[in-house]
Amino acid sequence: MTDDLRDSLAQWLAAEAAGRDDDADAAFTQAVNAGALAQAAEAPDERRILAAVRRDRRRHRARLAFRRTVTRGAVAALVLASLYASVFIVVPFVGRRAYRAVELGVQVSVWLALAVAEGLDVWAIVWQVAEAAASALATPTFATTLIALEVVGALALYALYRVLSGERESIQ
Amino acid sequence: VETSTRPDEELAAEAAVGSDDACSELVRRYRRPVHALILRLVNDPATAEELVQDAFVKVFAAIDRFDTGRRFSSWMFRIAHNTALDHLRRRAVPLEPLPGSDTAGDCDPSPADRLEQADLKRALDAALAQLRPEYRTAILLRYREGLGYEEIAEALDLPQGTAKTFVHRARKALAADPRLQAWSRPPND
Repeated sequence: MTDDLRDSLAQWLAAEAAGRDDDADAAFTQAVNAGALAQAAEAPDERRILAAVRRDRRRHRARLAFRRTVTRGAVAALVLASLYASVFIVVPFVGRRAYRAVELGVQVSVWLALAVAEGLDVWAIVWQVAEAAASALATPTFATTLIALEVVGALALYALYRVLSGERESIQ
Repeated sequence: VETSTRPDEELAAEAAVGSDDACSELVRRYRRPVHALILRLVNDPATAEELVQDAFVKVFAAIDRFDTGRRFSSWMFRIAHNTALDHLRRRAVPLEPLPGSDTAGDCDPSPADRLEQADLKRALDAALAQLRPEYRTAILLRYREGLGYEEIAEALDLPQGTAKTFVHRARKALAADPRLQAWSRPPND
């Protein structure tokens, strides 16, 4: 073995010196087969490697479960916020607006009938109606409700984004 | 079907869906070559052992993303190489030869032969330790693991021509090392 190793190393060095690349390749292969580059230490035990792999898988599953819980929490908070907004803000608001719309409808009908009877210009009628509708919608309650819904939606989206980007990092 | 006779890529696909047998077989096949590669890169047996575990952990954490149309060996060696490089980048690891290579395969050599063989291996180890990590990996994958240039290229994430150049340059650099040059003379000189 020693002779093989020494001879093949000498052949390889000679081939390299002479620029014979294929011979150098073959001689170096032979030297490695003769024991050069032999393993200097025992490889780790298979069971230890598998135990480390299993430990990591358990940790990964726990991380995924945590992220799933956080995602579900964020979704639940979003749904609850939406329900709250619907029941206590949107539905009463819509109800009041609907009542006001009916009221306005009646008033507008009466006003239109009087206006037509007195021969008022069509454009003046349209202008009056648009002005009344805009003033009905542009109230502080309506604006506050819209802003509150937008803020809740934006916060929920940001929470979901954080949760999902954390998930992506853990996979990478 | 016996796991030991099946191709790596098939085992990888099974490992991806949670087969413990497939994982065990892949570890059995690659623990030695991966350890040999990492040990040559970090030159410390204790660290190499940890990094081998890390490399397998990374492989099995990402196995569901392994493209079974590619070679598992290249992918495995690539992760092992990168794991060792990450470690080298984090710490300034001294490039020293490994302590005492083993003498596996000897047929009861004489004490003088054993000494000579140990000297030879030490000289080669020392020369190898001076190469840059990519060259060391290229040499080990080519000559120790018997990989083709295409597989080495995949493992090192290089074009095939560059992988071939790496192997060629690494071998030239080894041959030019003064510790090995001493062995180019006949033993009687």
